[in-house]
Amino acid sequence: MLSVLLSWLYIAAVCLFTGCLVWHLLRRFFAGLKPGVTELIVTGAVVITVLAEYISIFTGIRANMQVCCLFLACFGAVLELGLSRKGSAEPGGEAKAFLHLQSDGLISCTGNSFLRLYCLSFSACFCPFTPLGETSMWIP
Amino acid sequence: MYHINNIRVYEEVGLMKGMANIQWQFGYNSAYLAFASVFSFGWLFKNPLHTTTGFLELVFGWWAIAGLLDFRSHRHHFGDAGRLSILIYILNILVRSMSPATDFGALLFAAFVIADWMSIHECSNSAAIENAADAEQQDPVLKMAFLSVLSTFVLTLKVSAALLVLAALVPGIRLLRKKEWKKVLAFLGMGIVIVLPFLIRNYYISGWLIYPFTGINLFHVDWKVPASIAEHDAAQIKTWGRGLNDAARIDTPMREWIPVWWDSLQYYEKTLMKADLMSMVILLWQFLRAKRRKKPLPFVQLSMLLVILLSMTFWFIEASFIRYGLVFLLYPPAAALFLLLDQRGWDVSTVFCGLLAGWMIFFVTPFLDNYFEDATTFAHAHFMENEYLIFQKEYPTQKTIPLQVGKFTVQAPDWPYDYNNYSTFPSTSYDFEALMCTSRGETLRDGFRNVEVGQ
Repeated sequence: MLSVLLSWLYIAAVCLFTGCLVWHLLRRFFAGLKPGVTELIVTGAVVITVLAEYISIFTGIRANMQVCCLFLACFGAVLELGLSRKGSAEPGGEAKAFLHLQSDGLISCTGNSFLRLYCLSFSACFCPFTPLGETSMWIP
Repeated sequence: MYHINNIRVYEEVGLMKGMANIQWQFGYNSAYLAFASVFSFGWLFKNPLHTTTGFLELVFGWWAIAGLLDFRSHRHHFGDAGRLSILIYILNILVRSMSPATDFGALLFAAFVIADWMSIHECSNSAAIENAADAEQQDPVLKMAFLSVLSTFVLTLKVSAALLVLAALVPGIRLLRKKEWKKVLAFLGMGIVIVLPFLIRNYYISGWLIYPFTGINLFHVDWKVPASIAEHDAAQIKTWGRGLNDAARIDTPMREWIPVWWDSLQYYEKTLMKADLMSMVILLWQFLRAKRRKKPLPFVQLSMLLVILLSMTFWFIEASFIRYGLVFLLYPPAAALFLLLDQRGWDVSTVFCGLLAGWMIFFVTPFLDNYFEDATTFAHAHFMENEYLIFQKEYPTQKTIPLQVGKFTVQAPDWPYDYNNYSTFPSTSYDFEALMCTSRGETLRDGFRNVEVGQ
């Protein structure tokens, strides 16, 4: 049971932040879109699955795929963190920055803190060499 | 569990050319197994994880419950019907959540596409419901377009849900009318990026663009599954779904196989089918009533209803196993019920539909009861079992016998089993399928070919 719960947490984190990354890119072309947490996770799951299919044409799905997943997810997490920092600099902006993540009503005020904690812990674990202070340069 | 070994193939070598020759079912090539293999960690742990179906149940179940909690704020309840059918579907597969079966993942994604599509324009503009109003601000055409892209992903998960892609016509036509060429090209591009690896893998795995559909015959490679086998496999799917259980009876006329199919259904499946028929009557009645009153049902939802009906027809003709089309079968009764709840003002037709709906609920009850009992019995029996408090139960392993297929030893289950294993690689569910093959080269990635092809 514990392994299942941890596995779900890992899948959720990887899919969520990969989804965040993809929607950051999509928002440049499709203004006005506000995906909810579920939509971000679904997007991440689709991207990871399609990527795994492409990779499987050439080689097995092993640690290589995890490196890809973690890279995408970390990039997504760092972007979210950057957005949150950018939002924090404005009065009341932090809530605005995370508003797009709660549009399906799943994450309320506590959800914001939870997600922020998630971002921080994820980045801290997997991006030890990322210059967090410079993340804003990546914000689209 | 013929899928399990495909996950192992993903992990070990990605794919083997012509691997559909050693087990024809490998040719179906569901993308869901790619997702399952990413989070299987067979290369890291002694016992690989199989948690992805449970994860999808959690995500979509959570989404459905959260949406239903906002029930009162919804202007219409087509989306709520979708959410309810997601929850019933999850109840249906709950005791098999640990299985990486491809139809579970495919139908959960399909149910999400349907429910999210149906929830467009559902929120009232009440300022008190910030999140809902926020969601309402999304451009519905763009949302439909993204869901259409997701429906192409569903196609790669299970071809039997392929008709969901037809929904893409609605946003496609709207974007074309607005002459938003860039967006049309962007969405087409996304769809192609999603479908392309599925098609490339099909080419390598079976030599067909879509296996076992032999109507498109583009490639002539030595690892191609012979057309006769592909046609036999397609006939098997159809005839097993129809309860005929004999591929040779593929040409049995509909009037003959429908009674056989009906007799093969469980009692609670029959009642579900009856409830579906009643829901069609209610939906049609409500559609005509709304048209007569010049308050037609919303086009966005009607278009998806039409796609659901087409998908049900496709399911019925091509692979009429209840479990393969369950999401499409669960939606109409839920939609009919919620449509009636939306009624303002009662007249004779509403009372008639209300009575029909009551009867419909009566018919759905055995289906719900059956799976609710399954789930609760399972939970009572296994919840907090000490054995699985830390680790998940491992995949079942059948006793196998080694078969020499060219240069490689392929494991096949010992009679009377016909399940494939995760632990043995390469392996097949059916020894006679592997015995028709030989190896193509020195490595497993070079794969297998049928002995009668490419000599």
